[in-house]
Amino acid sequence: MNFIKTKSRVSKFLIMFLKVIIAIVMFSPIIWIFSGSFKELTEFTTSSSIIPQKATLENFAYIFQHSNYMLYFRNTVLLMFGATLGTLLSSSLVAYPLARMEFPGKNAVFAIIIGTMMIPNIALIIPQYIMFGKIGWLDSLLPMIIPAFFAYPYNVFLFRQFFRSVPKELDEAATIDGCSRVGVFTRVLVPLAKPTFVTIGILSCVFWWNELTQPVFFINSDKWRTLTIALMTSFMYTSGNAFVINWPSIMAASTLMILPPMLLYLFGSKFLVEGIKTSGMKG
Amino acid sequence: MCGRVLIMKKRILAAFLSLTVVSSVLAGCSSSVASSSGSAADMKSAANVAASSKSSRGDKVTLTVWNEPDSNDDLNMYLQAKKATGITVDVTVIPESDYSSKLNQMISTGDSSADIYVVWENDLRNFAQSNGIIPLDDYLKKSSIKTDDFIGAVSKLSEGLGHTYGLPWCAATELLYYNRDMFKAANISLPTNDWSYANFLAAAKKLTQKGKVYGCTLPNTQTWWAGIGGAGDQIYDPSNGYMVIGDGAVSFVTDCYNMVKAGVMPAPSSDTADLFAAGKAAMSWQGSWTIGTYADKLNFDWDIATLPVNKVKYNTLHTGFYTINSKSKNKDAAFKVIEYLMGEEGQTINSKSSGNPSAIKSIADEGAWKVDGAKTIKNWNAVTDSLAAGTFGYVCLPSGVTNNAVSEFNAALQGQKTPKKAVEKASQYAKETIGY
Amino acid sequence: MKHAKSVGVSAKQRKFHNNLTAYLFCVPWAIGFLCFTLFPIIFMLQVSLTNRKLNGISNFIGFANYINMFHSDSFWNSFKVTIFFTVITMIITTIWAMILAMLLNYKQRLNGIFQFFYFLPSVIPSVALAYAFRTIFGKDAGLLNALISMITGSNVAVNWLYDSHTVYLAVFFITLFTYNTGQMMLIFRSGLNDVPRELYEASDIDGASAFWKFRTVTLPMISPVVLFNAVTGCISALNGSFALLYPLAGENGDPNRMTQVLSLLIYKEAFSNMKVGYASALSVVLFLLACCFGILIFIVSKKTVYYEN
Repeated sequence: MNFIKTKSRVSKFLIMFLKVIIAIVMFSPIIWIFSGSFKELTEFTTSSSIIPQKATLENFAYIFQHSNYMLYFRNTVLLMFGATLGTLLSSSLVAYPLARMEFPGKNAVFAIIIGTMMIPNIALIIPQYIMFGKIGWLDSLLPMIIPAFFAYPYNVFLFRQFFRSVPKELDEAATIDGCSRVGVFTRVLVPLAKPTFVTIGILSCVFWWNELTQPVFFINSDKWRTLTIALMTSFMYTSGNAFVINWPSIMAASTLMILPPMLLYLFGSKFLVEGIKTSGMKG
Repeated sequence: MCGRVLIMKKRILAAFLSLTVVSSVLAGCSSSVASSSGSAADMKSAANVAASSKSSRGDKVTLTVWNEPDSNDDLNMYLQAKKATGITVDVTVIPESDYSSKLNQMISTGDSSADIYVVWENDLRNFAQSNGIIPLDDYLKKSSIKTDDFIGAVSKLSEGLGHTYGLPWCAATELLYYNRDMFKAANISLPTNDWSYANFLAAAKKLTQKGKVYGCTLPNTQTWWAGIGGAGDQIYDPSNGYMVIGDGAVSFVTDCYNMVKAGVMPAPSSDTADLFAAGKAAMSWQGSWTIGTYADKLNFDWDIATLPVNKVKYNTLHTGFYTINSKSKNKDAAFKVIEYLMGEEGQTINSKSSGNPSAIKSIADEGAWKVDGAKTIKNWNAVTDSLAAGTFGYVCLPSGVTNNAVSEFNAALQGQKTPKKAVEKASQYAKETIGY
Repeated sequence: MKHAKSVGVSAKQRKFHNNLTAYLFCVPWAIGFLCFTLFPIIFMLQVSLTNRKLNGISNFIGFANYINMFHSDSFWNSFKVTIFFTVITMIITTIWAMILAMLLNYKQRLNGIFQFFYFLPSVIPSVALAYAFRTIFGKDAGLLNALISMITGSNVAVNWLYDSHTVYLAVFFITLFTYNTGQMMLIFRSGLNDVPRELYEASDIDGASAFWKFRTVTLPMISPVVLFNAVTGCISALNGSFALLYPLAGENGDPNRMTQVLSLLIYKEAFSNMKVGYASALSVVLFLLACCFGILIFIVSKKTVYYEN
């Protein structure tokens, strides 16, 4: 571990002070969201106090009564698990030969994978939209789950980094024992890579929990709406059709959406942080 | 060694499946409680409906609309439709901001999940032309709906399509809302149905209390066009479908810009709030359906009037058309529901709930649209007057074009460009889009 | 094949089998690449040559979309805004992440708690972030205006998100809270940790100042990490701009289209104006723009990134 030690106490104190200020600033939107979920609409749009003057739980009741919140939750969970399962399976499979085997075209394949990482998803979303429309997959979770089963470049990269760090001696030991290539994969690398699986699994879950762009393009009806879309559009009307944005309800829904990743981070921070750090490794 | 991997995968799978089952159950439970549901479980029962059943028991149709059904059961016309016809109406609410585009997408992919689309004016023509909705003439011949009693503007709209593709669910218009308490306190004569635009400008100025109360709220996406039409522009040219704005728009935008500068109107900002309802603005130009929302919830004395008359007495009519999806599997049941909704009872309930008169003149005359809760309103004639002067203007233009124009006008209000430039840009954009 | 030790099997056959296995493992990726990347790219090029509308009706019109695009004010505005937004976001978030990482690397108590506070905003959905900030930056009831009013004593009502002078300040401030920034911070932390202590001690002996140490030791040693972060920052700015700016500013990129990046324009043209062919042409431009950024970063990295081996 490599820390830069400061010489004087003053600068130590200054740095701690700076850290605290920055912590307050970084945390402020979350505090605002929490406090907003307990305010009434009129109070929210007229005052800006952090502690609500008239704390109420009506917003939480509102989001469950005025929208199919549990349905959206179910959809988001399905999406999350489906896509994560797919990516864990496929990305690890594809990373294996790239990390361990030599074959003609290996560098080309790897270069293409890295290259496709640079393509923003959103540039291809219109043709994908038309394509999926023709197959009839629109307005369902399929356009997001199925591609996950065909290897995301980013996760392939992460798995490859990890596999390369496993000493080759273990591979050779297994081959001597009589395992085929496939055997080496399933019996040596995968069990060792459990932490990486967990990390990438968590990263993928958080990603899909928070994803807005793809569901917005691919999902039309209420049946398959996810929580993020609901957050954006379902709380715009208090009653009737006067166009008012029901801010406290959006804050309440946001609070509910923040809690799972926050709890996940609290308890799984080791994995999450380690995993993200691994992805930045050189090579 | 191989076993361990399998066990881990099995555990993951088990956790995934159980979580899915739990949330499906929860989703199913909650959707039966909410009055507007669209859960997947119900779709199976819809598929079991016989195509040509005369008996309506157990039938179900799905209807798309942009606003939620009334929370009061007696005023929920879809619930009442079930009581009258025995057909369950499953309401799918699609937010207004992408209502038109979602419907277009559903039509283009041949989606059969919805039976009845409530269609906006600008989409009626292109849905009809792409055969996304069916002509209703055959059904209408055997039905009791009074199609010859529609208000003039509605009949005109359906002309040119050859057949009747949609039936108007109500006729909404735009009104001036004002805070009577504030007018009395400032000693200004109350708005009447022939209030002039000059009167309006003067009153707004007088009613402004710097830092506390605005004279009038900003025009919203609907009422911008009322101001522009009132200043003399044609806005929509039915012969070619183009947007026509010019000097009228420039003058109205300029007026608004001056009012924002003088603090009479608030500047456009990101935290949208209903300033009129909060008592922070003395007047507001809004759709007539807001009467139903305000009802008795405002804690001051308020009333309505027709929009102030500039060069022309102008406001925009709003409606939605009940249409039947050509891919629907329950067309007969769908029409039965529409028949109820267009009938005396259905129209009356709709009027009571939304505050909008029916588009059928005889039903509108009965006055059910005078919302009971809005006890402070004395000038109910404002609504009928506005209806008479109303026309289907901007609503026939694609929503992307009109939204873009409003965005340009708002930029002009901030002084980011001159009103003339804003109008030019809006027109240019409209030309690029409409002729596509 | 488990006991491939029998004399009859030649090395060539083994190599063939080896290659075949490798290809088989790669099959999922190959299918995915063909179906979800390559085919859409070609399809996108084709659709951009038509005037396809949202309802599916489409006619071939050649390069008319591109010609209209180059004459369109809103396109050039969007193009400029996209480049501006991407570059500045990349720079600001990288610098901020670096600052946070360096702060966290000072050996002090409670670093774990600080990391929690710094990283937490990254895991909340950008929709929630956008809405929270819309109200924090609000004119009449916004938290920021209230704080400033409290401090300065006068009634401050800056229209942060709608005033052309302040909107960029506000938007770039919000990008500091996105997932990408948090991710960069963690990667920087581990990169900084990897810098060998001996190098710092050596320059201490020479009497180097903190700034000099940073410039000559830290920066070169973490340059691969900076490169990686630059790449992810670029992709995230191009991609994530939609999820952040759509709830924040709407599809028109208010005020006055100052935040209408290409992704927003694509959405607007395809779904509000129903011009899918035109939106495809815009997508082609976005795609080429991303490629250009990639190539640029690659060229710059060749000159500035120091690899240990």
